[in-house]
Amino acid sequence: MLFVKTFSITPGSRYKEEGKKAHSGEEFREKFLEPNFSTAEKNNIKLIVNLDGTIGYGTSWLEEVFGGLARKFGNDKVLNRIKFISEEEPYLVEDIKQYIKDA
Amino acid sequence: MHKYVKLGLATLVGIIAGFYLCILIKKYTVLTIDPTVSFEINPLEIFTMLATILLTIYVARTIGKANDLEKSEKEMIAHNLTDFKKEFCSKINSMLEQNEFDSVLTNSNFKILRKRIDAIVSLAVDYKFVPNNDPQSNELLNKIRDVWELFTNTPRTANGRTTAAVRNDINRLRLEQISKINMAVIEIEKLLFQLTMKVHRR
Repeated sequence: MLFVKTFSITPGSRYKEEGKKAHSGEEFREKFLEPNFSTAEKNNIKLIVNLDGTIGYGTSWLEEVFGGLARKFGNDKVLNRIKFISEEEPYLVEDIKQYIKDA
Repeated sequence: MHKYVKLGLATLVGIIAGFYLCILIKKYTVLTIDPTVSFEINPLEIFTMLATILLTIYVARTIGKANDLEKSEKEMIAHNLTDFKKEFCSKINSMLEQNEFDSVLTNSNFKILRKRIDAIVSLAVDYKFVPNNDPQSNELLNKIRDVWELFTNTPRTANGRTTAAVRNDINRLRLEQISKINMAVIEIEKLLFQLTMKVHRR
């Protein structure tokens, strides 16, 4: 299971270039999500992403992380491989799925 | 206290009116009751009467309590919606004034706002003040999501190195976003009002 809060409890901007302490979506995707996604694909298992424990997300961050992953690996692959958990904000799961579909 | 004063006054007026009514009846009518008239009381009728009185008290209390409970639930949900409206407008105005777009503070504010309105709508549905999948509630939640997207998916602000043309474009896009946010806020206020009225009407 991948916990976003282990990356940062304050997810910030979209791109890395927006600052070293931006906790950007691009950085999370490259350093955390993509390696875990590839491993899950290799082992043919579901990757569980837990979104709880942060102070909140911005659209840019979520779109860059999950939309970006869908642009790289394909919308259906991402939708079928990842399971989202968000006890704190259950509506986020639908928002993210929409970003993946629109990517 | 005010309730008891009213009740006292009504009793006093009733006694005085009754007193004068008795005098008037005695003066202008020939209606008298024969002191030798006999009354017959059926024990079964007394039992029936007592049962009716007890039943009346029970029904009045039970229905009264249920009504009071429903009234307080309704008031609490309506109060929560009004409070949310104030909090929402205050936070949006503050973020607009301070140019807080796509920042950690904006993310945090929207996490609280979205979670709060989601909880209020869920409560309204659970207590049957609003039907499940109510179009107005759904529209309200979607509009708030739209405002969150407008705030957290904005173009980056121009810096010193940006060319004038790009700077103008970025500023124009930012103004467009602000205008869209303001329009959406008006819609949200309207929807919150309609939802409050819907809760009151139930």
